[in-house]
Amino acid sequence: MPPSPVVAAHGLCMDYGAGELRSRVLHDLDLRVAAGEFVVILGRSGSGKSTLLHLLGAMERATAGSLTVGDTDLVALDEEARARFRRRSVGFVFQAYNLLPTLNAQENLLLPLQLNGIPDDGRSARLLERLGLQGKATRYADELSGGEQQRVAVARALVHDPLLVLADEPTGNLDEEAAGSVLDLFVELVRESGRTLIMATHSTETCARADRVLRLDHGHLVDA
Amino acid sequence: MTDRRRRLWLGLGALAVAGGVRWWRGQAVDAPSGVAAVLRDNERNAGFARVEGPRAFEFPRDHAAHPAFRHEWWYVTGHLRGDEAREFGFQMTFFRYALTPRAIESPSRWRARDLVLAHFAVTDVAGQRFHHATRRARAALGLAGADEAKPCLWLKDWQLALTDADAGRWRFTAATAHAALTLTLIPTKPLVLQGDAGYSRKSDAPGNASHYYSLPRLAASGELTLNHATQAVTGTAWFDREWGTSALGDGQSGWDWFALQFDDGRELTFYRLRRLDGSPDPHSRGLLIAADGSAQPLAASDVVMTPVRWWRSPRTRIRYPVAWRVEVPRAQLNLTLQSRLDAQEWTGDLRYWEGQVEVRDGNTRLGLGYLEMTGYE
Amino acid sequence: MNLLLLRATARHLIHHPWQLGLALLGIALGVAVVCAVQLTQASARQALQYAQRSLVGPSTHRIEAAEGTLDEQAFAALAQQWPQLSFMPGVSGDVMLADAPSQRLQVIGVDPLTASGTADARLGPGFDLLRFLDTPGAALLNADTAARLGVVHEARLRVRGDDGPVEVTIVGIAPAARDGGPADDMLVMDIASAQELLGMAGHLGAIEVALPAGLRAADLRASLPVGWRLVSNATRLGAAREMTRAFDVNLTALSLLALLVGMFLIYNTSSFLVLQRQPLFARLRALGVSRRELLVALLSEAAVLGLLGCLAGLAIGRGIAGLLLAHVARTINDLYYRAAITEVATSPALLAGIAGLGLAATLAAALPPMLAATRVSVMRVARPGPGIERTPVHGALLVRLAGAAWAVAALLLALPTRALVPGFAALFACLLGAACLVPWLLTRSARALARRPALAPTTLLALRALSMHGQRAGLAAAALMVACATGIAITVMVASFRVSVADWLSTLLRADVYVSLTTRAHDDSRRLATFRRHIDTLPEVAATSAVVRTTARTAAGPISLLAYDLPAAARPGFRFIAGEAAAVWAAWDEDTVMITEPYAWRHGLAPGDSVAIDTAAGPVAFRISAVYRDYASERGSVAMSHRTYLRHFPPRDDAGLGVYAAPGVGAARLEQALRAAMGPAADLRLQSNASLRALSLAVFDQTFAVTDLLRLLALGVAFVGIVSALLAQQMERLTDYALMRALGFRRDELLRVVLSQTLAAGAVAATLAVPVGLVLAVLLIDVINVRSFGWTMNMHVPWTRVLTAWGSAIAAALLAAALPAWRAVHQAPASILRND
Repeated sequence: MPPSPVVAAHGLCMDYGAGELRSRVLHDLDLRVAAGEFVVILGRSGSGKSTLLHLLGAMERATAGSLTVGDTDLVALDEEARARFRRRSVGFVFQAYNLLPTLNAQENLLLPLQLNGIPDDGRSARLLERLGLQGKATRYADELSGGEQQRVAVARALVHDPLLVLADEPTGNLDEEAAGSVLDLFVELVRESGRTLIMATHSTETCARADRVLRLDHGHLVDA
Repeated sequence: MTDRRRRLWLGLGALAVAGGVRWWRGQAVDAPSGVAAVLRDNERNAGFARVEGPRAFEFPRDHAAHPAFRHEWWYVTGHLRGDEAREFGFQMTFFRYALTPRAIESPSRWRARDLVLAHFAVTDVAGQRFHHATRRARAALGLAGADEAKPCLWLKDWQLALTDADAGRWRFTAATAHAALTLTLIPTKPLVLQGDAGYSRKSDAPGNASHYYSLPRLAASGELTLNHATQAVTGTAWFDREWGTSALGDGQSGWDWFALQFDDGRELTFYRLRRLDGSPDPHSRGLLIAADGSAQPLAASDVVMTPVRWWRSPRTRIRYPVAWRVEVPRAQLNLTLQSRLDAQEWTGDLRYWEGQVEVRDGNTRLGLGYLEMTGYE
Repeated sequence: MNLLLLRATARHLIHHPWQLGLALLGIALGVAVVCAVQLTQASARQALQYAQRSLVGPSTHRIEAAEGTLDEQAFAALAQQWPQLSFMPGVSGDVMLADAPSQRLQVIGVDPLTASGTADARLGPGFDLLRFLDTPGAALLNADTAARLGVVHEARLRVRGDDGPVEVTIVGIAPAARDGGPADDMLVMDIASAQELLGMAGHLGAIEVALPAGLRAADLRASLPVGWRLVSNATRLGAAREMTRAFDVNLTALSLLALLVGMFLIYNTSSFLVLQRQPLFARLRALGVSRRELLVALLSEAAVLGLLGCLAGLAIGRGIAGLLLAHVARTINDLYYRAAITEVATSPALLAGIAGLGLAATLAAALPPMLAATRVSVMRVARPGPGIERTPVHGALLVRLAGAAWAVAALLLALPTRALVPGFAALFACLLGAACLVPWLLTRSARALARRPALAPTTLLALRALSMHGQRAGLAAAALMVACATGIAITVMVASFRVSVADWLSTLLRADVYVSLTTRAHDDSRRLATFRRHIDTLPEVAATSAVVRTTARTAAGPISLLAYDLPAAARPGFRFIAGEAAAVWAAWDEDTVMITEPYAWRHGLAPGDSVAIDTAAGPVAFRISAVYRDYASERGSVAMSHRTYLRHFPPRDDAGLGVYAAPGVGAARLEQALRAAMGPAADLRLQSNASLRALSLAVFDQTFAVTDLLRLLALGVAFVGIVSALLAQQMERLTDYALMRALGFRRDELLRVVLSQTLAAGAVAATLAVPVGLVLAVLLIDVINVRSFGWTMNMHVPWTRVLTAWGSAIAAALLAAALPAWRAVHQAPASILRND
């Protein structure tokens, strides 16, 4: 009996629009991800990668199928319950606009802790240091480079020990060098903490480090 | 000369305030609202005396006002000669219109029994100017009146009064902004009664009639002030008097009236009523008065009037026939009437043409007259 | 102009209809209020012209009695003396509808026989002269009034004059006032019918006359009977306008205030629109579009917006003018002149002027952000996305601006002038200075608060939003502060005024019952004096006072002269602003006068100076013993003892009596006794102290109803401003809110972030508005009111109402945030983050 999976999806479907304009973005998708696993989802633009991540991160509700993350049946959750689920159990790293512009780097990092009522036992400072952001804690988003912003975003995604870390092209907006260093740190930290990471990307370099690579093609999930 | 002055009066009444309405046309064609319509309404005249037969005239009493009747007028036209034989025509008219046949009971002095209107004009033949002015007021506060006891009409400082009853002497004074005239008038021929001994029937309906007489020739003398220069003037005048209550007849579009004084001492007066279809109305009448004062009545068929020249008013754009050929076969008269000034048009509240004309037979001047024309467009 | 460029910039607007709508609404409301006030004033002026227009002919002058009416026999003599002149005599008076006593009609009696051709248009084309003349009680009214009263041709209307109900017959419907017909609410009658109806037989109200070019007015004037005067129409109109000048300026100032608030809004909206399109502008600049071209495109866009907004504003303004008109009409009729103001006068020139003003305001407000837009860095292209641009507040600049504005205000107030316009300019400068401080204060306090440790994330986010993006919220708050402070100022001013008037009334009105003549007073020229002698003997009466009211001449023009016969009990009714009571009463019968406060202000007089009044024996100088408080007339009056009066002026009947009850006699019993003494004629009006006081205060309240309405309008504009500003902010920060939702913010938490910003902005605005409002109130009371009317008053702050204004400003801010907050919260969290 394998350990119970962190993510268990069965027959997952997602439609957008209504009536004539209704289009299916995800088709009858089955997915199981074990705890501590690093899964990469490859796919072209418009293949449904982000949508899958949004469903897994409880940002949106699936049109059909079942989806359990940890012990939580996401399909059963209402809007506010999903918000609570997100703050507690999910860490997000988006391609861009990750940071709240009215908070500085450290405050952005502290936000998940405060939302969850977790005291900062110095981990935020440690994380910043690990990510090479010492001395930039009080900078605001518009005072940080793209790579630095993404590093803060990585730190924020991990700081509250979420069950699941989701990243959507986290280095898509960065040059190759910055992308590499951010990705290295990101994967390293996730591995260290034993978190489960699902990342949507098209970078083959990333695929090399993943435990498993899945390909999403026109809303159908296929093993790569 | 049945309806003309009553009609004129009605028009004045209506247009005193509601000017600009085509009254002449309105009353004949449109059967309009307003005074003309009201006066067709016999109810409106209830309480007023009616002219239902000849009357035993009594002078000078009958020169004064007859308030029991609805309307009444004193109408003087004439021909004057001033310094250096300069010629003038003049018209002086007083109208009385009763508002009520009943005695007035009101604390307000403005609640008057009569309205008084006056038209005054001087035609300066040499200067080719037509000086004219209108006044109107109610007979109240002593500002205007038509006296019942003695022949005296006044409207502020305009006045027409019989000043010497024994001599039959009248005096009048009136003025416009540029012309002032004071005249003494003494009859030189006897008074003539129009119609049936002064009983002038307007239609077959009883009561549709007026009392009507004329003084065909009076000697006039006085002073004329034109543009602040005063000169003595002498000449002759024609005086019409008429009163009654009767309602209007229908179907007439206007009329052409004249009173001519020949140099040989005769007078000719005639009015031609024009019907809507343009034909002369059979009620048209006239008089030919001999030098001795004897009068010969003229019927509609006795006189043929033909326009020979038209003049278009630059102000109202109305065309008037200002020269006529007048034929009276019975009297072997073949006359031409020629306006002495084309612009003798009244353009105030009422639009009509009334002015001095010269009477000719071919190239021979026979005398002078006054011509009145209404209902033209 | 590059149309493609214009399209590129304008497309954005079309895709943001809310922004577009609010921008338009902001312009429209500002313009609407100005338009409404201007139209109302124009209507009042037009109604005055209609009321003064001769109904029967063109006139150049009017002959009036200095006091009372003209004797018609004297008129007849005058007409005989000047036969060449066309005099148009008339009478006028008021009646009310028997079935609707609140509907008053002005009866104008004319002599239609003096009419000229121009009367056709006035009296109507189908006018039946004979019925008008020969039917007692025949009347005309204009088409609008007929429609309003539901009266048709030949209808009978029951009206009530002094003699009870009388029937008038409508013999014609004249054209509407705008078409040259009689004024609204006017019954035109023949002079005989009018004299009968009004009981004015023998009397004329006025005589119109057209003087021909060659005649000098002085010649006619010289032949007028004593007590008659000849006034040119230009003078009459000018005098009436002069009377309402202060009132006009006050209203105009209030309306400009609304435009000012509207300009905040326009500035705010256009700066937002510019900000949002910065990437677009950067791209355009990168493509080689010059600064000039970009500016022209943006200004054209602003011009189109401004034009649309102005047009909408004119339409709305016309609607509001309808609302204002009733109030203004009442005030003008109560305080200034008789004119039925029932129709909004719409003059194309006026509307065009207002539209021009609105357009100029739009462009002026939009210019600064647009200039900023053209300076946007081309490099902005590289950083995509809206919403991460900071909009800080330039605190130092704002503080300096505020200081400058206040310096200007102080300078203006120090000017040695009594003119109203500098007073209002100072008021505006003061207000603008305070408004400048609002954004600064808001960001400052937010920053300070945000420094406190252990803030909840929602609080921190709200405070940071205010301190980092304070410009927008700051502007909204400034607009709110302006509206709220103005509201408070007006509230305090009106309350102070009312308390002062009430206080004055209760001091002044010492008698138990007041007696005055009803309008039917022509039979007995000594009616009140006789009545007074009669009641002085009654056991219920302890004492009586009497006042004679007349107009006297001075070198400086006519003055209102009051002659008092006062018992000892009445004397404490006068409250002296300058002068000693004891000295006043000691010299009371010795050719001294007291003057009212407005009179002293207008003529710069003080006790010890003297007033020279023309008497039959030539001018006599009366020493001023005191200046007393009086809110009865803004033009002021001069009061003397009845004995002094009789020594110099012809005797006149009393205008009013005050009756003091004997000890132990109640007001009701006194009134009963007086009614019995009056007899069956019932030609006197008895009013108890309380009812007279209530009536006076009711008139006062009516007068200020219009300011209430304008105050609400300004608040309305500010409200729209806040909605617009908050919506703009929300649009800017849509990404932030989506991110917060993604991070697990609950809806209520997000709502708290949005609303607490608004609450803070509202609270700062409202709180600052209280002291600013009080300062403005002081200016209104001590500068504007004194300069407008010559009245001083004691400041009285109605704290409950001030607190209500404070609370409603905050409530308005919260209410205005409702829509933006709802949009922020109901946005799908993933909507902004989708990259697919």
